[in-house]
Amino acid sequence: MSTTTKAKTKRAYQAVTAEIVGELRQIVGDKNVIVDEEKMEAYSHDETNAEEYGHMPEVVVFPTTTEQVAQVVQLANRETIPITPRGAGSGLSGGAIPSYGGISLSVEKMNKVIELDVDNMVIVVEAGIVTNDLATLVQEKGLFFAGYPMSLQTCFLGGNIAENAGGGKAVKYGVTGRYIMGVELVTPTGEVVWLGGKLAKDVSGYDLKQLVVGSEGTLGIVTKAIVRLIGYPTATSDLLVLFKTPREAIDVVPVLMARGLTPTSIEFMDQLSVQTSCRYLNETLPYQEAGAMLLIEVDGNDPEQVEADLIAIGDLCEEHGAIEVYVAEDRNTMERIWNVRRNIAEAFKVYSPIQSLEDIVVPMASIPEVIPELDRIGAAHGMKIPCYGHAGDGNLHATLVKDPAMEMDAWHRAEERALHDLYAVTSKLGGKISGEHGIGVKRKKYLKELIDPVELGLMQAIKRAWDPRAIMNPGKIFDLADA
Amino acid sequence: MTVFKELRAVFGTDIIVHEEASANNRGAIAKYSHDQVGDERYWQEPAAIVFPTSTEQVSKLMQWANTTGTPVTPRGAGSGLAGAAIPVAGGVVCSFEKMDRILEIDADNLMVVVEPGVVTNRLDEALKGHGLFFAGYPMSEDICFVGGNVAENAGGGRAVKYGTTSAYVQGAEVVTPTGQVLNLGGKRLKDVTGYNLLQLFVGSEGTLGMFTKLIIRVVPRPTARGVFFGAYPTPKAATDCIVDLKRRLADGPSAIEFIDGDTARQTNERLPKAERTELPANAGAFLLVEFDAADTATVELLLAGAKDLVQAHGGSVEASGTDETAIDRAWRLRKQVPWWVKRAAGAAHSLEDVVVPPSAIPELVGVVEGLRTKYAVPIALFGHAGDGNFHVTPMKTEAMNLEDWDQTAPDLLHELYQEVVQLGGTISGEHGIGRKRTKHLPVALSDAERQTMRSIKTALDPNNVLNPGVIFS
Repeated sequence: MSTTTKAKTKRAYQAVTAEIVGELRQIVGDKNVIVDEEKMEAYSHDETNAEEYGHMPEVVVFPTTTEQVAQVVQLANRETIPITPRGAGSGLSGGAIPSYGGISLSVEKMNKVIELDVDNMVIVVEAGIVTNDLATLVQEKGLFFAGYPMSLQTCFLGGNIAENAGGGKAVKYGVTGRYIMGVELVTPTGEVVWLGGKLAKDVSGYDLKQLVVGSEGTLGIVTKAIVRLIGYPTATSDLLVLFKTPREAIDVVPVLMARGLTPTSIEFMDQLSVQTSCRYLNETLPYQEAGAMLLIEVDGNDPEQVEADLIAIGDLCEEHGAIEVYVAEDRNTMERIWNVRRNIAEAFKVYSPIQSLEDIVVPMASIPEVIPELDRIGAAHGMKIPCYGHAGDGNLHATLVKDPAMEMDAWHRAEERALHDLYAVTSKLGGKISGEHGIGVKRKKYLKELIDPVELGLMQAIKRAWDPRAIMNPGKIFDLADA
Repeated sequence: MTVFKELRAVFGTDIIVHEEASANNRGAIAKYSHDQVGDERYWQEPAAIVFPTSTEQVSKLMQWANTTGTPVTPRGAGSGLAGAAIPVAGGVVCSFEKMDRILEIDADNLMVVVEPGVVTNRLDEALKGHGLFFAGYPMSEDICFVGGNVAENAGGGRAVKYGTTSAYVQGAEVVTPTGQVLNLGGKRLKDVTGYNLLQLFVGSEGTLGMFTKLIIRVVPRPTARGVFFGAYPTPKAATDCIVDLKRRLADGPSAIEFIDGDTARQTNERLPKAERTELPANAGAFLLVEFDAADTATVELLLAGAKDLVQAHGGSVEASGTDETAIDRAWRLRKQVPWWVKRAAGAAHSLEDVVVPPSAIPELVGVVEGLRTKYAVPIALFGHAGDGNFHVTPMKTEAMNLEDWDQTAPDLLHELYQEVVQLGGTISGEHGIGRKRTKHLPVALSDAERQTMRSIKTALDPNNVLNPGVIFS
């Protein structure tokens, strides 16, 4: 908090005056500007704890064209007003929070499909399209957008790009960035530039689009994207594998990966995660007493091959201490199990609102070493740390949960110390503090402690080169004053 | 020379200074004046060559370069095709041939750690024993260095299934233009802690930094492969078939390579008799189609499906096989094409590397046919058709004098590039801009995009000492 205040006084941004609002109304139209405090509240936070990280914008705008976005950015740059791009607000690190006030620019009214190009297996869309709408649309043509996160029902593609989202299928298909072939970007100075194209390969200059992907809206606003699609896999099958302890479940993961079986997903859930989600959904899985579960999916185009792989995986799990291997008999059962997995984060939010959803990632072979460390850190700081996540990627959503008996002050101190410990362990194992959620405001101070100063220096140099007035989503990932 | 005194202290005997070179060494220096770009007008001898054996030496080199304002040009195997390793401004060439260790094969994490000077094929040999595979390799794997592959973001014959080199780069130790050492990425499959600097360095052609270590993702080695040549009456029939091969087969080919009829036959005739392939005399174009999988039965099944598509497009199936001899023979023909072009046309040819969206491949073939007629020069057409990446190669005829060629070639290339960009393509898919294509870059990239790229170069290399003149003139 203190760093934020310091940086704020230093940079001296201009306030959004009545004249500025008037100019914004001229650019995007009266109905696409809000200044009403009550209505703006929704734009003051994302899925992180609003009390801790939230900040009100001074104005929210809803442009409908790239040209309008460019004009708004030009205005912000000219007047040195901070501007924070926003997708669905489903982020988990505070990337869409207008930490310095100013303009919140929501792309929610830019949700058109420009072109579904089946011959080239690409779709060109605006940034505000709901990821699920995109996925459904292409599925009707037998095509598949593989780079989507778990929140696909609410999140926007633009947000997925900004954060380089991951999701349940990244172990086989990779993260969002792999599917972004081109972006239309409004730069921090308000220029419009297309990066990339419908090309399988392109080495004409630097790969700027992958620099933009995952830059959390600090290098510009993505207004359109060319998204690569693949054939929709015609056969899918799932296993739910039960283990006595989390350690035993996690130990199997590197074994599966090294065999070259390449499951589509290996999702890990410990007992508390499963039970909390079941309670939230009013769902009963007959086996929710198990110490931990792996939800494993295999897909492909040859049902026999998928079946054979599934059996091989099941056998390996049994050899490595699984107590039960269930095959999901039908689509419905499969969907129910996945629903439990997808709702864990939401369930924890409801039942344990005071928590910190983490997103650490370690090399695959080091996953088994993480679990005992979580137990140790939890015990040391008087909290529970349930864990679930994309085990096949080494990406685990350890979640620090406050004991209801603990005072808030004590919790804040304990949370900070526990995060320090967790991140230290992660680093020691060759890991990083975020695999798919991003740094945003939430992890900024921790990144600062862990990042190589040379690397930070390069990031800052790029940020300064592109955004000389530091108006584009300031206060995210790093502060320019950090060294 | 006194200016190199400090460098000598760093590199000991691992330095050759041009002015002091003995007659013996002159030949050695000449080698570092060029890459595989044939036109000698691009060549330039450096003032010195250093051969680092450690990251620290590379770092000191860049610190020295910044103090003295001396240009430094990093160099791998010199197998590049765009002139990125040519020291156009003189100065020092930094050759990575002595940093050639495979540091670790981590089978548990499916990662390897290598120095940049490892020859690509040597890495593959080392991986074979572990049942692993480096999928992101280019066609020159016998000679090229992994560091060069990463610097250029190389493609190759199997990118249609496996993607290009960048898809396999998970981490790097980089020496920045100011001599700082930084470690990017790691043995992790996901990482969103800040900007993706790693992929910015990949394909930056040695203009933003030098790789001193690389972490490369490897995959389980496909244990069965199979190939055939599809022979088509016309190039159009072949290119129409490509779209079907990609779209209609759920598990797509691991390679779809195109060679025009005359080029394929002439290359074939230059091969030793025992290595030739039976090619129909009247075919207008050939596709080399390859599949890989875990077992031969699966490969056979995939080949059969593809053969049906070939026949549906009026093609015939030649030289089919799943054994190593058949696979090597097919690839040998394809790989010999650029060497045949070199022999046939000498330096007076231009090996191009355009790329278009897959659906525009038939139109690209039309464009090339139009250029052949308009400029009255032969244009060999071959390449990684499945990616839309074609090595369009205009060649001087024997009858043509060099001056005419020099006038014709730039116009022809300019028109080719413009047409390609019209089709939604760009001027290089895997070879890079290097020095050869800098003046053409404005055809492909807008002012805003070039400006943005240049701002990154300036931010990272304020004194413009690292590989100046590459990508931007």
